[in-house]
Amino acid sequence: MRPLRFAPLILLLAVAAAPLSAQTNCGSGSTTTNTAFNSAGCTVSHTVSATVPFLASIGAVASTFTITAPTATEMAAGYTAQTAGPALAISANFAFTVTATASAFNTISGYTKPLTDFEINSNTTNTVSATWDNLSAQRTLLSSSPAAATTTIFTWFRMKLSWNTDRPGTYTSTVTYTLTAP
Amino acid sequence: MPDLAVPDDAIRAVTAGRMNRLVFRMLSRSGVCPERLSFPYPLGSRSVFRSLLLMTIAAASLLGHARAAQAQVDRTCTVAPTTTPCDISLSLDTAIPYMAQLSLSSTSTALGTLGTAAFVRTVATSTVDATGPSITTTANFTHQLTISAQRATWTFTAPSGSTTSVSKLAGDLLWATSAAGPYTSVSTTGAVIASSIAATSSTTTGPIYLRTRWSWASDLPGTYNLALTITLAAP
Repeated sequence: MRPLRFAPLILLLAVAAAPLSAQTNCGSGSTTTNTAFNSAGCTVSHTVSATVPFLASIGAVASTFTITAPTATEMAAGYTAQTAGPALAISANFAFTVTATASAFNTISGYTKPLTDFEINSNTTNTVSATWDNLSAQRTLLSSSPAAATTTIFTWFRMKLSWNTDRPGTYTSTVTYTLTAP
Repeated sequence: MPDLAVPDDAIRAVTAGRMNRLVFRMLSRSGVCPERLSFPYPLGSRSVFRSLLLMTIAAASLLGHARAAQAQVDRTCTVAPTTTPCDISLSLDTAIPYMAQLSLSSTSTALGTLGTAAFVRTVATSTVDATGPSITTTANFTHQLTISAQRATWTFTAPSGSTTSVSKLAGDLLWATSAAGPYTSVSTTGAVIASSIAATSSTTTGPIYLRTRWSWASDLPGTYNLALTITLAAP
């Protein structure tokens, strides 16, 4: 029980030893006027801090889209008409790159359409460019775009067509957009 | 040089209002001329003023005040005990300066690691980022408190390996005295938190509520610090 006798004292010392909050004593014999007191300054400091990580937001106006079913004329031309895909809205506090990949098509009547037939076109100006990339590999849609509150990437898709291989059916693929900090 | 002595039994205090008057009988070597010095001093500080007085007398003797003292000593007291005593009086005025004590409940406020929500909200719609410090003042005069930023911009520390720099304005930190606002941007010019706080042994103002404004385009990843100054002043 002996140690308990000193418990209050230990507690008191612990409290006394705790770090004080910011405190200052102001005034001296020379500060007998408010002007002198104010000139001497009576201040304390307080620091506000925050950690900002790499932050980004990416979203699409729609989670699905459909390429218009081709006509015989388009079949003969070898391509579907281009179809506008979802616009991607991006916010990031760092320079970023956006890429796209696609999952394999489903199999129709024993035929799996290759991703080389699935093409994408993208830019930030909402005009279709002359360059189309197939989605057989990861494609860069936007490279090293600066940090920005709103960046919009417009996308278009088309499909290569073949009388010989493209059996009637619905071909489905999932396109994944990835934002990274280069 | 006269031999001055202030025996303990020669000191007595007379209370008059809020001031005591310390009365000395100052004896010459011959002991024939009791002199009396009186000094007003605040209540409760008798011992301090007694020491101060003794030092003053000693210094006066050493630094040339001996002439006056000698005159007193040399003065022949021919008065009879029943007549008016041979007194001298000396008034000691005590100047009480403007004095204050200023303290904060904490030295820092950590907003932690921010999420995207901090970047998409507006100041008008955001909730309080953090409850800042309370300010406790003690002062013997009516006073006011102001808040200001020590620099026009936040101090930015880039992540390891990065050389980016950011110049985030101090005004992106806003403060208010109530959670509901209104909120005011911090600047390097002091803004009044509370005015006309009466002389007090302890008055607590606050807490100060803080909000911050963040920008996707300009607030790059890193650590941000902004040092504030709370100032107590006599208007």
